[in-house]
Amino acid sequence: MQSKLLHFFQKNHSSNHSCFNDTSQPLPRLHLPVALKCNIKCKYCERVISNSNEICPGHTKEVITPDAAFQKAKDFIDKYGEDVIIGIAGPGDPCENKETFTTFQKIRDTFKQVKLCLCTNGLKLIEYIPLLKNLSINHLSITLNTLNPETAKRIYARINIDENEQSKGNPFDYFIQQQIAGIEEAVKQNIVVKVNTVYIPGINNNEIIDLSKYLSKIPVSVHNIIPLVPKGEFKHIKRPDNDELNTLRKKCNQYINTFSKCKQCRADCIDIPEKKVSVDRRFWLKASGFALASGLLSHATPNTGASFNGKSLAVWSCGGLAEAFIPANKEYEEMTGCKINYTGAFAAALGKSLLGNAETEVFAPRVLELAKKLKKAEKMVSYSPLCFTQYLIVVPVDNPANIKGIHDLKREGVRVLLSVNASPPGGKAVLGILKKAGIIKMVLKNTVFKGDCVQTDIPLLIKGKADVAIVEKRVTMLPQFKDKLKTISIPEKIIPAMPIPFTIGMMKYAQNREMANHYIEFICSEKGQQHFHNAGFITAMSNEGKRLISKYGVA
Amino acid sequence: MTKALVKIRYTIQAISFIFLANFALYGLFRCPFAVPFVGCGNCPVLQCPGRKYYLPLWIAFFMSSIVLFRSFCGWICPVGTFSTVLNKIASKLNLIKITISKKSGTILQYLSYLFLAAAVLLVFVYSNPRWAIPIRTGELFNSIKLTFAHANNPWIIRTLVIAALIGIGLFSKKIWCRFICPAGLISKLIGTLSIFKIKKDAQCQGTCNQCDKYCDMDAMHDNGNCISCATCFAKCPQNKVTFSKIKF
Repeated sequence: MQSKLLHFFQKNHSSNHSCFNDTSQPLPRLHLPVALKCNIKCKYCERVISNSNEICPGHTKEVITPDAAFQKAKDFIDKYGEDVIIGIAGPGDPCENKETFTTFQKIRDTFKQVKLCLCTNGLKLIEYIPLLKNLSINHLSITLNTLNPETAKRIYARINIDENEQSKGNPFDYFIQQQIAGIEEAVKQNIVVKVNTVYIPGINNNEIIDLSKYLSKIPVSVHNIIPLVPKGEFKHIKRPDNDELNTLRKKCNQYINTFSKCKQCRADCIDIPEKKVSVDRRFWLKASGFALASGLLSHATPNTGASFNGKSLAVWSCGGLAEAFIPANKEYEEMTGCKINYTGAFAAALGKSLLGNAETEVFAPRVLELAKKLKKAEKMVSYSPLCFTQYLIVVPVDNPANIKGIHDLKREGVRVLLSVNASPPGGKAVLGILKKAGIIKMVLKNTVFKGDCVQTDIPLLIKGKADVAIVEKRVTMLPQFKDKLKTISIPEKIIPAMPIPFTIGMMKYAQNREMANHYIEFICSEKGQQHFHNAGFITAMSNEGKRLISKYGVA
Repeated sequence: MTKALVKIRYTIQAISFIFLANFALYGLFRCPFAVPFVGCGNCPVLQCPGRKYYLPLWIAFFMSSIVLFRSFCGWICPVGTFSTVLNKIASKLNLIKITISKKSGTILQYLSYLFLAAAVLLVFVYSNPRWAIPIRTGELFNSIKLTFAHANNPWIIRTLVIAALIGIGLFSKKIWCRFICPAGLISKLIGTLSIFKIKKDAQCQGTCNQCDKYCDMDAMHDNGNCISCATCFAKCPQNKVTFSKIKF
């Protein structure tokens, strides 16, 4: 039985649907949010149609018409080819909305190869099986949480059924019968069926193993047990932790293939696997070893992954990035519920601690060598480019010494401010620029103030006690200095390479690698990178950033 | 009336403590500069409340010192509040073993001049050098650990010495406040101009000595240690202690 099932499973999975099996080569996937109406009310569900980026089933930015959906699908197929998966998963129940089938029909009429996928609660599934067969639907997901009408009563607030059926008896009985009948019919028609079960602690947790057994006999291909996202009436229930879930999945795996990579997607998700990345991007993605997701590549926030309510993640970074990380972390916390314990300080010091006994889960250092060293020491699993800093000449707004370029610093009578004893990115790096420009001796002679902290020294320049200094652009973006300094650029060829690139990497101490990865994806996505841009950095995803990635060999 | 005054002081102390204790912790354990609490406006330690607090606090410090002699120490300073509580606990546990005689007290007071001189020198001559790596943001205790791990020796010495001197308060009454605190000394020096000061009635024969007994600061010897805490007000059985206006 088992091997037969496996054979069946494999035969039907040449399609590499990342929601059905843990495939190494998943296909690009698009959800079309056309199905607004729902025919039941699950107590854990909150349909959300808004601009929030929270990753949760039933959430979408908008609901679109079949025409718009077809256009969206067409654009997607134009971009990634016909070997993609187009699904409809809400935000309501697709079988309750005619738009679902209109959309599928339009797509199927034009594209014969595209894989179609439908997610439903199963109440009306059976009526549509012939139609689905006609559309050559490839994948079907049915959410079946219980076989027990009493439990169903606790999970569903309401089941909409027509009066005719209502008179026949218990609506929960009817609902479950409809689900089972739908599943059985779909399997009979050779559609690949996956059953999703929401693991709700204290409600259906004791029934899931039996449910697995039952499904294996139909036989359903995959049983996907997913953790409750506490919302709606169930928002007070604690989200089950991964260990609990994995133990259960292991037990169920004796009977049926279980699936553990479910990302609990939104109704409008876009999931582009690494494989489809264009060449120049693949160049560093491959080397960085991260499946830096859809978000970055489709220039949107990653909509893959789950919410991490109640979890926490330790993130360390070079202190210079603090102004970018603080708002980015806040946004991530709001989006996922995961608490970020953030530490930002001089990267070399943090690096030294990390090479010693200190531990953190994600680390974003300055200086490429440090990331390499941590990786070599097997403390860092992998890293990818994050952003680049820029050095600028700064003068008071009225530019009293009429500075126009780096060589004006050596002019007699110009009062230079140097934070020589600041940590290397503020001290040594600046001296390196002057050395490369061949003017260091003369500039040191002109130096009227030698400080040990860029941030406490710069006010002297603003007050006019010096004429010129060299700082990173990020310093000029600090709220206390913004618009109080005039900047002049420095030719790139005299800028030393060392302090320029920043990377972000996962440490081996990351307890929840999926979450750590998801966080890194977010930081590297357009949304995350925006904060780095605002703080005065060149982002890795910008054209300039891509040039610098290859220039400095960040990979 | 006098009892109410003590209650008012406790309330103000408690409120100040809630707002300022964090700043004090940052100043001692996370401030990367030789002398904390000065020039906080451009400090790289992003999380430190000092950025917002330090200017209003210094203004309050000078104002309060002029209005009522060293009242900042007795009413607002979080270290003062901490020391008071530490003293209360130590007395309950019978730990106060070191008593300092009037004579050695007068000599020990010069320590505060030494500390103030060092602070002035570091701030105005050496432009307050940075002795530790600023942990710009981070969870408090983890950051303190990191600061210690990467600080220069002078920073570690100054931090441990100050912590120890405050800690001695567990065995002797307010050593830090009485003999060391440079800010207390500044307040004392400004205090020569202060409008109000607590004074014992000259006619008091001083036989009961309740005021002296309960004074944490050992201040009934007119040594400038009074922090206007008004404890003596409440303890005096004859109401012989009052606020008096210093003559100009």
